[in-house]
Amino acid sequence: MKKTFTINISGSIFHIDDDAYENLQRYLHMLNRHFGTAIEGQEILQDIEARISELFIEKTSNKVEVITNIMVEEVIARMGKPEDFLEAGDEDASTKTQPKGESADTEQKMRRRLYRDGDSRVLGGVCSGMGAYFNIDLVILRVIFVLAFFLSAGTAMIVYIVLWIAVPKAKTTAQRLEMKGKEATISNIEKSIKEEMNEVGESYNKFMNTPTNEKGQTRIERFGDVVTSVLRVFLRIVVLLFGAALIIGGIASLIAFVTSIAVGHSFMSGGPWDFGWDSDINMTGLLEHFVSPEAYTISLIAISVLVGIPILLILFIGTKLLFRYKTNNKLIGLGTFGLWLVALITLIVVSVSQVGNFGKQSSQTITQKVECTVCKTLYLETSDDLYESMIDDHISLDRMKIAVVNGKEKMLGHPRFSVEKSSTDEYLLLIKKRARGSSTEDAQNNVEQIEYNFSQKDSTMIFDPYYFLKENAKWREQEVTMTLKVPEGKSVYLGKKMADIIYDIENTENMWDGDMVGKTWIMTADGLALKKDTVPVQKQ
Amino acid sequence: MDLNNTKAQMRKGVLEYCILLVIEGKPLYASDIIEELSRSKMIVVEGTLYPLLTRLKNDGLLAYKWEESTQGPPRKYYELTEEGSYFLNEMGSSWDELVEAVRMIKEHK
Repeated sequence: MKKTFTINISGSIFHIDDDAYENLQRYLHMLNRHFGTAIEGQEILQDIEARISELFIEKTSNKVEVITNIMVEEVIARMGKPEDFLEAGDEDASTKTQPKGESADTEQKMRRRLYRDGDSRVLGGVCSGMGAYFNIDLVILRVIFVLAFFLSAGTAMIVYIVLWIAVPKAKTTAQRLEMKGKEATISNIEKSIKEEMNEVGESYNKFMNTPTNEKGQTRIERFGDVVTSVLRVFLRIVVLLFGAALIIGGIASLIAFVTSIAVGHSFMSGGPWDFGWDSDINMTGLLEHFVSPEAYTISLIAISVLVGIPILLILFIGTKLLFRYKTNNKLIGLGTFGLWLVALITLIVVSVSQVGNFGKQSSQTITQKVECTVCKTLYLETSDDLYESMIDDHISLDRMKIAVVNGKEKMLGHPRFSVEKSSTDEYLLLIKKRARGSSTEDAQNNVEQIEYNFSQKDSTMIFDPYYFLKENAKWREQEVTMTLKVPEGKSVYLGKKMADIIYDIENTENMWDGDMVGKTWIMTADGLALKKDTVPVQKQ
Repeated sequence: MDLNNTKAQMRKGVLEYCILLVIEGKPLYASDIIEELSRSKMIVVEGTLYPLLTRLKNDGLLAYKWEESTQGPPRKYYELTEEGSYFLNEMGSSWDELVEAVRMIKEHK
């Protein structure tokens, strides 16, 4: 009793004995290696397979018969081995032949490769190919894929398409056999490493057993063998680890990127894949703040391509290192690179045009008399900071930050507050709002997007810790600077929370801004000086 | 000198000419060509033919079309292109010259 397989050669179905199957597999693999993976080689192989199929049909006609090893041997003898083709083959074929033990070499290289399986495909045959490669039931694999698709917000589809493009479809029988090669993956890797380990051992033994009286050269050669096989094992392990790392990293960044572009509220915040993009703010939202609407879509696409392609490339290299599939797609490679360059250029052009939006500067200064003629001391304080916890610390646009308030993004920044001597005998508050724009009018318009509030009650002034931009305003380096003019002989008290906004106030003590709060300061002829009886502070 | 190798070299040069000769006139598919060439002992193993056919096709001397077959999958039928016919003619006259030259040398001895 013999085990038989059912195989498909060039579209015809055959039943084949176990040993015959292995023999045929070896033969086709040998041909595959001889002709190479180029289109021409694959075409030759398909033709030869068609002929083999035809010969088998002749042999099995009339009655149902199983292909035996004898039949396979006959067919191989008739078709000839690659070295026999040489007899009348093309000249350059002579360079292709393997000098050393062909059969042993073939056997060793008969490992599983990843192909797309067109025979049992739903879409591109990626899942079915994977199933064959990992020896996993197709249904399970597809369910996993569909789950991954929903869990990763569609990223799995991108991975699928990359594999669809990158992994070759099993066309010839030799490739289909390779696809379902004998060994399972993990054990395959283990086995190949073990094999190479053995090689290391063998070459080491050889090295040790070489009699010392033999030529020194042999010893050196043997020693070289030991070193190269050690290196080979080491390299293979490194390559595998590297490939796995690339795949994991690639998928993680792809998910992060896709969610950042499309979803915004990523669920992955805080994970190891959080690459500095805070979950609350997505790329699209970020762009809205400083790119004019017409350039917005273009730059979004350009950024997607610019960032996306390298990520896909990482994925591709990773899978290639791990699964050892062959690729032959220069056109797609070049096209992708071209696309990437186009995106880069687009982004540069858009950026340059955006720089024009910052070309002109405009400012608006409001001088306000502080109505407190009887006051000897003006009490300054900042209102409570309600936004601190909502601010995204990762993104900072010059002086402005982005906060997420009730799910909406708001741009805000601390004003800068300074104290100077007044030339009159009144307190004066100067509020200067500044912005840039493509023209003076545009800049002026951008100035008007600034909202800033403060309030005064008797001798107490309460400042908002932030200025804001109105909704949908673009960031154009808007800033707010305040200067309080204090007449000589009058004082100001700086509340503790003023530390948020005071900026470089000159004083006779040369005290740092942060240390100036909580104290009363008097304007003297020399400048702002610390008022000695500072401690009991009470409102008048 | 290796006799087998020399024979192989000689046959190799003529084989492409023979393939074109066989195909001339009517479209043939690979197995027909093999039969013809095997009968005249031009090829020893069948695998030899396929790389040559593909190369001649890629060089533009041959073209093929798919035709349905009564048994099994569709077959590739090869035929000469215009360039192939021209090539065959040229090769034919040069072959005749060679044969004539060899004959003359043999007779003159």
